[in-house]
Amino acid sequence: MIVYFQAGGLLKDYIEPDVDAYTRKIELESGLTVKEIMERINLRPALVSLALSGGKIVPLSYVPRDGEVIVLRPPVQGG
Amino acid sequence: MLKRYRRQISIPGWGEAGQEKLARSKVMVIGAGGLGFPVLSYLAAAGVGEIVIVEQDWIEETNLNRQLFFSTGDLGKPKIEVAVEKLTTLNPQVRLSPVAEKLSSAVGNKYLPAMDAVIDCVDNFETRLLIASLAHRYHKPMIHGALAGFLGVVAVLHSSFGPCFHCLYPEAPEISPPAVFGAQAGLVGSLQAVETIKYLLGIGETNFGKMLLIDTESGFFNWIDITKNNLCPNCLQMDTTPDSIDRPIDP
Repeated sequence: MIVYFQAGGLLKDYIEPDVDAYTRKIELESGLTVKEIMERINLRPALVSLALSGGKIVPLSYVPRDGEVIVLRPPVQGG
Repeated sequence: MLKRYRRQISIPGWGEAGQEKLARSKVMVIGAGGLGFPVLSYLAAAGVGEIVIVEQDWIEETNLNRQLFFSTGDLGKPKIEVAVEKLTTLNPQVRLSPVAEKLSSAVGNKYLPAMDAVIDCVDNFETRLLIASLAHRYHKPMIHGALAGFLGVVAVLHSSFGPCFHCLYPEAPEISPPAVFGAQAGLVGSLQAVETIKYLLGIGETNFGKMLLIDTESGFFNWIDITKNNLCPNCLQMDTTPDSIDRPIDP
């Protein structure tokens, strides 16, 4: 199946976008959680503060469906 | 007195009654830097009655790309001194209470009970977690803002009506100081000022339980729903401020 990871800011460098400037297409077996997919692409979960699907927060234990886009956000602390 | 506010009094739902309400309002702004500049400027210009400003830093050259209270000639001066001077010039009708200290529980305990809201304009998670604990202790809304590069976040948090900052970030993540620039800080801080004024006036949606995620590089602006963390120690009524031992949760 295919899952898309989308990220902005510094996270872009870690997900290595290949669809557009923000999106990476990942082909993998079904049943993996967001956290497991992150580990597959060597993205440390500590770098991610929020994962979103369809505009809603999902836990890193969420199992994406085929074709789903997961938006990842890093912690934001500047002021 | 009302002439300077004429252009906002004419906004539907605002009116002279709203302006008087703003004049009676008291807010506490933590930080007078990149976010603090737009927040303080717009709240003072709008006629918020009293603003307690907590800021202990001195002006450094690296501040000047975004902290527009300060000029090259101000380098080395206390931020709060220059900020108060600029805000007094902007609107002498606003009562300013400068606190030239780092935020602590003692500072929060002294000022926050009398405030209507606390606005988070700091640059680190540790202080935000302390603001959230104090806001919870005194049942006040925390208007949160943060940025990193082209990313930004705004949220109106109130543990009585939705999640608090601890629900979102139980612990401070380990991240290095972010890259920041002025226009993005202006955007996020302006939205914090808007949400604060809406809350004080009771106009529109208060957006409790929502968080605005911004990525100006890709043009992504999205309000998302955020929910309470059932295991959040703050919301479970445990006082998480450092000096909370033997201190009542309610004032």
